[in-house]
Amino acid sequence: MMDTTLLQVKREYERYIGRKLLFIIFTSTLIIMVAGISATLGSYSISVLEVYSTILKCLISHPENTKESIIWNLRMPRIILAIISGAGLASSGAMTQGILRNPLATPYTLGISSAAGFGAAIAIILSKGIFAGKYVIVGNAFLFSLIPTFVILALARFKGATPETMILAGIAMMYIFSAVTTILMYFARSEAVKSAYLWMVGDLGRASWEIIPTMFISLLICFTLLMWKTWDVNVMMIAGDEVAKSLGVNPERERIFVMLVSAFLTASIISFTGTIGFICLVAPHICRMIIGSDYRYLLPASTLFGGTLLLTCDTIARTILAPVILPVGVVTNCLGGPMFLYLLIKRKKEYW
Amino acid sequence: MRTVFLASILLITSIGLVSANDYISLFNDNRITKDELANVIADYMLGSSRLSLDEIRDASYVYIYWNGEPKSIVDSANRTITIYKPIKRIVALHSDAVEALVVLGAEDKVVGVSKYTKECKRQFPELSKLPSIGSIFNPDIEAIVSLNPDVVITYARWPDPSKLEEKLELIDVDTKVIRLDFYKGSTMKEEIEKLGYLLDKEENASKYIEWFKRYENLVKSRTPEKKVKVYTCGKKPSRAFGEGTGPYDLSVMAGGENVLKGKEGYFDVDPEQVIVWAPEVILMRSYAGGYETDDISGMKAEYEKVIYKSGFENVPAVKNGRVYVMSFDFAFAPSYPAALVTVAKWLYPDRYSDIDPKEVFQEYIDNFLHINFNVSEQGCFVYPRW
Repeated sequence: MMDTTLLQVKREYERYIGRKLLFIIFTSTLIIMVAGISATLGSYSISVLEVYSTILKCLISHPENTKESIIWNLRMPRIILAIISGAGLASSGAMTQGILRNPLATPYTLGISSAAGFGAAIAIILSKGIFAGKYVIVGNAFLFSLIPTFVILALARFKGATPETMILAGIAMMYIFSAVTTILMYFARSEAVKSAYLWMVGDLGRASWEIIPTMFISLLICFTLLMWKTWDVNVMMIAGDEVAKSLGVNPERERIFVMLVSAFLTASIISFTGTIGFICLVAPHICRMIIGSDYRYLLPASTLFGGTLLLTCDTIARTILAPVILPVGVVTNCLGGPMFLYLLIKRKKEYW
Repeated sequence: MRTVFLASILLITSIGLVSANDYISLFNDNRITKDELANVIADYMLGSSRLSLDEIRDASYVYIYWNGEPKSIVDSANRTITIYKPIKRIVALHSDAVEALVVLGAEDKVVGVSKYTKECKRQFPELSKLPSIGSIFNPDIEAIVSLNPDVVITYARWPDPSKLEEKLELIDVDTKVIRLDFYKGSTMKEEIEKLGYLLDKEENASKYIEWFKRYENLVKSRTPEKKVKVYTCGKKPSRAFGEGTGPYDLSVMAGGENVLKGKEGYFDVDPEQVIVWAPEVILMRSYAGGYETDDISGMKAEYEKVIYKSGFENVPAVKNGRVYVMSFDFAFAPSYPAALVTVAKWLYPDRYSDIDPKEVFQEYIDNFLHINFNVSEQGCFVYPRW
């Protein structure tokens, strides 16, 4: 008697887990499919067959003519950058929401994006001409974007801040950095101001093979580190700090660790792409609605789903009104927003 | 993903193996000599040439018309641009460049324009029909490459090189990017001269420059010692356009003394400050008018924002009815001298009673744009109307 119930429960659990795995497998397939479609779309007309044969060819040799270069040096880096950025933003968003136990928390609410914008604005305004200081902009954006995180971590370390205080501190930092950026813009040449604003609108147009390895490695390392902490985050999410402590998890230390990794990951992405909003907030929520909050599955699912979402949006952004290329942020908001609302309405029980 | 990543490393290490272009190697000693040209032609006739017939034609052209030497200029982004072949296909990313190309009589070389030029059906009846490459801030590189241009002309500052030059380099096409503004009065003449030189249109360029200088000198000679105080702003009266902006430069070149002297760029000022400055003339820059619309209500609305702004009734410019709105595609384009005379007459009406700025503008349209367009009846360029 006992055995059959146990078996039943076990079977049900396996089915439950199976559903999550199925979603992850589904998203992985989707990513490859969307990438396959995206590679064939563009203003330069190239047949589908040519696109795929070129990609296969270029895996071993390098492109020889204009057509091949367009596919290999223009479309492919953009596709991969979209996947990496979407994946990185979504995974850091998912983990930030988890450790701060707040559905609205993202790396951006911790001030990272406005600080990066400030760093880039300084570099753009102080640089002489547009051909100087391309890496200075990226480097400056990266360095500045880490400042808010360190301030928040210092607060947590020395003042024992709660997650709520950390979020509030992040929001304060966001306001401070946008205010300082505005002041800076007031005293800058009009042309530099426009360039700085354009930088801040997130966009994947700067993609090239040069930046892919760095970003890919940082995603790989950060994702592995975050994956390693999913059990602890599960405990902290469900049981709260007190119980987590009794279960042998040190919530303060885990929080600092996860925040650092997420901030680093986000910074390494947005210093190349500018602020791409929404993915880090919405991708984890959509996945949470579909497969629940078990971080062991939620993190990889969000990561894959974030990549798919951003790639889909970017493909639409560069083809729907071609040759006019829309900023990808516009499309993520237009597409992600309604999708999110639909899921919120359709969902019967509280999921958070 | 991993294979792609590995392949990308492979790719990066293999950069630099690109073979040297045979055509460019003709210039190894800096110029094409008669012997070199004779050799390549003989090779071609024997069927052993590595150059195409088109390249041999270009080489002959360069030998005959350019004395065998490549042409070089320094563009407005301070880069040396060298061309080795006559330019036959041009993509112009902004309408000011399109206008400059029309002025130079090189419209037949334009093969692609931006989405803004597509809207300019009256100003560029033919060129607005050309294929679009999208927006200047985010041009569609694939669309540009598919037009196979020799050069792309864009603003000194936009788009960012990461969206244009660096992308074209990745595709390894033989397309040069030339950055020229054609909207600033201070650099207009030299930019026209440089582009005219590259396109072998020196004659048209000097015709335009002469016309430009005529009005420039006229305004200079008529500017009095005691200058009129001017305030320049955008469509909001409190949005000041200081040093380095188009309206500021125009007001100074026209002989005004701008109250914003020493303040750079555009910024918001306290309206009270404008009252304290007490400008005698207020100049507004507007995006509302232009060649394409006959509806002046947009410019009128901007004008009224200034004259009815509370507190402004005591500003001399408002009190004496000397507030003027000018359309940007009239004042900040190769038609600049016409705007210069217009503003000069606004500042010193009694000194320019013999000159009708409208006629100067019509002269520009007839002689340089070659379109059937009557500025007395069509378009909205200034408010109050001429």
